Amino acid sequence: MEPEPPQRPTETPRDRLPLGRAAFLGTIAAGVIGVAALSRLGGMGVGNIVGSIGNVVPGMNSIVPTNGWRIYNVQDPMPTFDPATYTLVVDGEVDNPVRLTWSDVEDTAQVVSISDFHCVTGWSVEQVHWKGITPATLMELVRPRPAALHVNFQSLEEPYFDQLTMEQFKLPEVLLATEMDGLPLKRVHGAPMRLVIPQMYGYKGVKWLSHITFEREPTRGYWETRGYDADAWVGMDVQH
Amino acid sequence: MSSTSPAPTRTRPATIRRFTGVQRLLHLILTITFLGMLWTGLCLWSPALAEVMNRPLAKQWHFYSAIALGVAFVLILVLRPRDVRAFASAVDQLDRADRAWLRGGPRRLFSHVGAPEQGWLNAGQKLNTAITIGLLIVLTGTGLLLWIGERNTAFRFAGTVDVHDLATILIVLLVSGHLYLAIFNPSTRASLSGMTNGSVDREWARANHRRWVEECEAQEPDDRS
Repeated sequence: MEPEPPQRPTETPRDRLPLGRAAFLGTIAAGVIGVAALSRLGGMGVGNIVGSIGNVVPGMNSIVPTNGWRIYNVQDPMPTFDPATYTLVVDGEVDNPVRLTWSDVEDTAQVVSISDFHCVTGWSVEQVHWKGITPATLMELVRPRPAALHVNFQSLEEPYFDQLTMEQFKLPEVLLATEMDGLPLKRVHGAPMRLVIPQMYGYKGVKWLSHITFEREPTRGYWETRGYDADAWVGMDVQH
Repeated sequence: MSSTSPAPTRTRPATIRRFTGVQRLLHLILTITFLGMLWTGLCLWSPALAEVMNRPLAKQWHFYSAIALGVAFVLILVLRPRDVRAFASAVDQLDRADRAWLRGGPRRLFSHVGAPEQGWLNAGQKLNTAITIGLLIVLTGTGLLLWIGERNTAFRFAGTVDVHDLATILIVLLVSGHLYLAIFNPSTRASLSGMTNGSVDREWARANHRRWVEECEAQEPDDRS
């Protein structure tokens, strides 16, 4: 055995403190407490805060232009909008089924509606300026029959699809949006048209809309067959 | 390298072994998987990058990177439990010299004037390691919650994404500081070769980790050969 160098005092166990362990466990504890506390508060939107730096620091928006949005899609690649070939089919239990071209959509009356957008995973974007066709305008055009109790929304992004009841579809602020914040809907947000229903979580708002069908029977949407609520009311899931 | 005759000279190599091959391999796996998770995570977060790498693909690779890192950690725990325990103990225990180092605060990173004699790791390295691994566990836990929550709504919590984001920001800050100190900072960048080829300049090590160098030299065979 090597003798201890005599000039250095020997460390006794009391001189060593398990501070590494404290930092390690403290970090994990902070994470656990953070999830519990922030869930109780309904989330704080860290991603939005970071994203909003883009609005404060000039030039940052082109680097991290999130504005609080996170982009969800289920199939690669995202659908690409071509105004020359795009059609929106509206049919089912209606007296006047239609096949709208993009210029038909552009010629249809559209209104602006401002609402907050909530994602079921915890993030939100406030005060989104949507412009689009109202359910009333669409129903005036296709004239649903009394047997129509549900509305199906099919995305160009197969197999994404979701459904609302007629009552839900008629809620105020529901839109078939073609513009967001004053600009044509971007590809990542569902160009050229998406469903907006601010009363419900974002997964109900089908993007890249291609086909709307009025139905007699309920069907479960993409996420609903994966365990999500068909009635995705914002703020209601805390009761589960 | 000093390849002098085996005469009773006390000449030592100019460098001293800092990290073993296994340690460097694990660090390399951590680096690759961390960068993989960072890139795919940014694609999942930023709409500008969502078109560069779509969500399903980004999610898949985010997940694969995490699995690869997890497998590496489990393998090292199973194959080298003694090394892991020794490393954990080195990171865990802060002795008097470490606490004296900490009292000097961040200034220590930029000059070693008056630094107390350090062992293999200084207090900053110990705490950085402990907090980084803690954050990796927080990221793994919240990541798993996000994954399970997508399948079972009972595990969906509003705070999960926030904590995953916060932990990401913290770990990126730590890694940025780590990279700055390893590559740019004049008084610490000599340490980089410890991770690239395994050895560092002996005199730099003596100045910064004197107690460790002396412990190594006490065991080195060169004055017995």
